[in-house]
Amino acid sequence: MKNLKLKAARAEKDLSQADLAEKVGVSRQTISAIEKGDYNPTINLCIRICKVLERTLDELFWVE
Amino acid sequence: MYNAGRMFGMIFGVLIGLVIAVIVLRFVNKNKKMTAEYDEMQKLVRGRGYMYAFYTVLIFEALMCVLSMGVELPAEQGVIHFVAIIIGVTLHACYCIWHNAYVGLNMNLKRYVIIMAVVSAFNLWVAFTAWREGELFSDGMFRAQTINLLCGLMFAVIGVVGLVKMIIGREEDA
Repeated sequence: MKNLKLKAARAEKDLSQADLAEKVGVSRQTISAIEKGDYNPTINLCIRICKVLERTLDELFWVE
Repeated sequence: MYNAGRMFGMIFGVLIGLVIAVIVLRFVNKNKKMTAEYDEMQKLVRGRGYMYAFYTVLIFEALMCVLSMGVELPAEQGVIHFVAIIIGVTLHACYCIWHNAYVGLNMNLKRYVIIMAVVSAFNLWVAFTAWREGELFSDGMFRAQTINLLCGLMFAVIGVVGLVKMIIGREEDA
């Protein structure tokens, strides 16, 4: 399932996939895979992404 | 005496290869470190790649073991085992490249492709020289020099897959 909330939060911060990837210490392809729903990140990576985007885990990763 | 000389030659060749690999790794890695750094998704994919390569090598070796009991294979023993290594390495590398897990966070794919092309060309040139002198295939058997041909083909395949992935990556970035 695509993670559109992450994509929107990243766009709001005006960050490219490469920018976010660099800030959280992963490859651009990993961010792309998370947004496409091809990869489920570990809780540690989720927390790092949340900190950079200043969002909570629920806001970005909770599936309704 | 001939075998001892040949063995020392091979050991010397491997040592030279290791020295070149160290220099190449420092050149390929952006931060001049010897080891590649991978993120969590890349580590996961690489693990899957190792698994596929392991089972492929296992099946190939078992098949060759059974075949060699019934028929005389048209290659020296060392060459047959080397084919297994080549298949395993090529499979792992191509799988990882295709799933964005071959090039680490501190590596540069473009530099990697260039090195693959150079190493491939060198090995193919050595194999061509051996073929011209009739040392590649003689008495109905593929000789040890076939290893250079196999290495050349392996690096060429890895380089081409890397190049294709690089082009696809550029289109995605654009």
